[in-house]
Amino acid sequence: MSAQLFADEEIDVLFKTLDASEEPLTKSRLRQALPSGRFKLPESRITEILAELQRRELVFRFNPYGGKHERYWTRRLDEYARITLLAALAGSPVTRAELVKKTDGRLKDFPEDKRRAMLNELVKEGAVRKWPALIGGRSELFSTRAPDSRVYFQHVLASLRRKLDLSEDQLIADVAALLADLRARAADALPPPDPAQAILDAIARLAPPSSPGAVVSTRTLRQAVNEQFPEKAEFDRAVLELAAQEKLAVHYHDFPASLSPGELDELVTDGRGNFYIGVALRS
Amino acid sequence: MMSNPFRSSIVADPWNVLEIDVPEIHAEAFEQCRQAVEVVRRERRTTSVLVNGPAGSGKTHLLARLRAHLDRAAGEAAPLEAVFVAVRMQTSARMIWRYLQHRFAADLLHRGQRGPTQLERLFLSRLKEIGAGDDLLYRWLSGGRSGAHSLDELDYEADEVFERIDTHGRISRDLKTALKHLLLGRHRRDAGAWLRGELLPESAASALGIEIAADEDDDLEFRARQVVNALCGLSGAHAPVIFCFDQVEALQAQAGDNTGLFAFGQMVSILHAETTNALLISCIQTAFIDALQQAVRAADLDRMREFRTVALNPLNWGEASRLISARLSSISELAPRRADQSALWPLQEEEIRAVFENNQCVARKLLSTCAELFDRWRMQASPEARGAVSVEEFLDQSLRETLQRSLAENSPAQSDEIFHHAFPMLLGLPSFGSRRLAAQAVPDIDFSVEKNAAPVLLSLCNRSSKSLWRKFDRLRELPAEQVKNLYLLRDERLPISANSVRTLEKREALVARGARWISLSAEMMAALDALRKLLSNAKAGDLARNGDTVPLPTVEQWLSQHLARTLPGLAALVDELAGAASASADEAEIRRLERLTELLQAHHVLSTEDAAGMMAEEFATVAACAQRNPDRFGVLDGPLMILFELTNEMAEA
Repeated sequence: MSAQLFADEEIDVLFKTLDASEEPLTKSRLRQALPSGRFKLPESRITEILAELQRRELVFRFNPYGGKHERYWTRRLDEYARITLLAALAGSPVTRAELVKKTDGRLKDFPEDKRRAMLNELVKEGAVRKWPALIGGRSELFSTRAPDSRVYFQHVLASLRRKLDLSEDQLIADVAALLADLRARAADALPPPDPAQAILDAIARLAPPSSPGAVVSTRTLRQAVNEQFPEKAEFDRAVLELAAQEKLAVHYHDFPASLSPGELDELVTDGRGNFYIGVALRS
Repeated sequence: MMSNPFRSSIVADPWNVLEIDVPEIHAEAFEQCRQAVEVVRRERRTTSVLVNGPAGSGKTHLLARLRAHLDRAAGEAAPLEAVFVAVRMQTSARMIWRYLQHRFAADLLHRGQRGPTQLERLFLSRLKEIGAGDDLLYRWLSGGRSGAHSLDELDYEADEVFERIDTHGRISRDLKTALKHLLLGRHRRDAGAWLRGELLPESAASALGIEIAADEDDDLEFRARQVVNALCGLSGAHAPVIFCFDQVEALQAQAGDNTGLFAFGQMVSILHAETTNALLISCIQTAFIDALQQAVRAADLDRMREFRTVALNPLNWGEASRLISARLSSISELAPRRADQSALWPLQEEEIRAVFENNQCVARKLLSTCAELFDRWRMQASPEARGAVSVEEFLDQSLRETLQRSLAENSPAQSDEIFHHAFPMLLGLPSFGSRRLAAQAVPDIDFSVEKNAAPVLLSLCNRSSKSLWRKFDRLRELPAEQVKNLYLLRDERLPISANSVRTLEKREALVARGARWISLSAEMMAALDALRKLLSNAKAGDLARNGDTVPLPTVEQWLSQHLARTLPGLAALVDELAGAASASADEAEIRRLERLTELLQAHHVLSTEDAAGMMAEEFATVAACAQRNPDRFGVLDGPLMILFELTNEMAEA
């Protein structure tokens, strides 16, 4: 953010501190978060600046939660609700009712029906995935992650353990034996690991769930497959090979001469003067 | 001679008619945009799509396809199914809402091929929604509003529609009045200007029945935001407003200055929060994504790409062949000869493949290459005979064309907007390396340029006399040292009326204390406009020679070296600001120039004798004043010596 945005440095610093916070802050928490020295402003000055920023619609006020004091943030209530719901769905999958309960404390101002409607929107957008109900259950589950069979196995195993009255050790020994058997049978059928596939998988993972064809920066991609491609030249070759096979598209930088050597090193190059800044899966 | 199907192939404006379109190309991106329109319609909520692609990948073409699709879906003269607003972000943070209002209004008043405007079609859809019968629809559509039914009757009908659609009272009285004028065909020019956010003279506002609002910067921005919101509300859920933000890169007027991008992010979030029927499509070059991420708040970026992020990929060979084949098929003279040839004939596959890198090529480069190959085949000339245009020649030609358009089109209503966007770009040129813009602490100072020790302060004074008077009062409070470095700038086409006595007195007082009064000529404004357009195109990767993007630093360097020759108006402005021009005219001369401008704006043609009489000046003084300013006044020498108002076309000549 440019220093020119706010002529007054105090406002600039306070705004940046609040913007960097992951949730709305009370005035005292905001004061703690301010850098030490001359920017550790008194609460009266913080109040003054917050009022000014609210007037400019750069900061928004939230009713108290987890305490008695009002909170402030650079995002609106609906954005806060969206972030809170997404955070609650980032861990284990939950049912609709569990989600509502889980977010009750933080979203007092955002009624249950609105939360349910926002969940539906998030599903439609692809930001949240709908999981099938657990075996024997009825309620659908929700999570930001793709359905994970381990959650279902865990549930089934727990229920088997109860039904058969198995000890934990016994259950683990039985499952391990079963897995060893499965692995032995599957080993011959598996193709050798394909490093290029690791690139395609990483792009699919890095692109937003709702936009699988979105551009992923070559810098981020390289970090994600660093293990498979410790050498940059190898990584560049693999990316360009996938482009030649039309499995992905590479987006060129139109003026690489403007970049520093460090920045250039983050781009994929074909050694013929072409530098690529992003990649996207071809449909 | 047979035309080249690859020339004029680049879609520079989403309003351009797509003569040849291959739907399979970028089908996925188009489908995502189409789905987003459906989401807005079905779920009655605003959403957004972020489009990324390398320079020349066809971002504007995608927008033109979407517009054509929405138009086709409805039919040229039928009620509107979506309002299309194309916004090239050639503006600054300070005026971003006013610019959006201007573009929104201009596109609402955009007329299809001889058909009704988007506004008129929008009104028809609202009439239909509230159950108007076919006869009523036909009457509005066919222009019968001036026929059998009285204006009062139609006025009443329009009121009823507004009452039914504006249940939240977002459409202000003034906006309603302006819209009714436009719909009923009254005072179209002034009502259109008001809707675009231009400041009207008191007489025009009073004829429209509209109040002259305060014109302080913050008020104007807030009012523009309200108008944009109200116009969105006007169209309702059935006809979403599709905002297509192109050339977002142009908001970064100087390297490292993120204020424009930050304001853009905020604007997107506000539109998202305050409207329920908009689709916000932002087009960004892939190479610019990092800069955007650093400049805007994370929340704003999330809002920008809420529905989808779509990639416009370079073409693979299959897509390229389909595109080339479609272009060649559009030339009927070629058809008999192509029948027994390959799909690409008369072009050679290997020559086209030569521009493919890593099995792909962006659409613009492909079309440009094919255009050259086609010309070569048509002329039966050798490659050496083609006479390639150098970068310098290309830039010279591009700038000349842009300048001609700017001279013909620019009006004083745009002066603030042009200056705010273009001035930082001008200072960003390498030849101004030692000068830079400093942060503003005083609202009445638009720019503070650091030059040696004391910064030069620039204050734009294009507002109404009433507002100017208050501004001059506040500027008088500045310390004496600052007043000496103060430049007051006003478009010379906006003379301060001789009746505004107090404003003139306050200006005189400031000038007496050392402030300089600079009249911005139409030529200077056109030069600034051309400069920002050329640089904006370069920033957005839209300036291409033979299909290759001309990099921004190349354009900046070239402009620096050739400023005086290519944009003399700008060179004059730079001299003025550097103090190299002759000393500032005295107050009497400034007033004389303004009075003469005012008189010619009212009478258009006057004898010098009459003008001198009206100005209570000597004939010789007025004649000399007119002759000293040939770029400002037309002079026909002769026994009578006639003075006339210069139009844009004359200035261009």
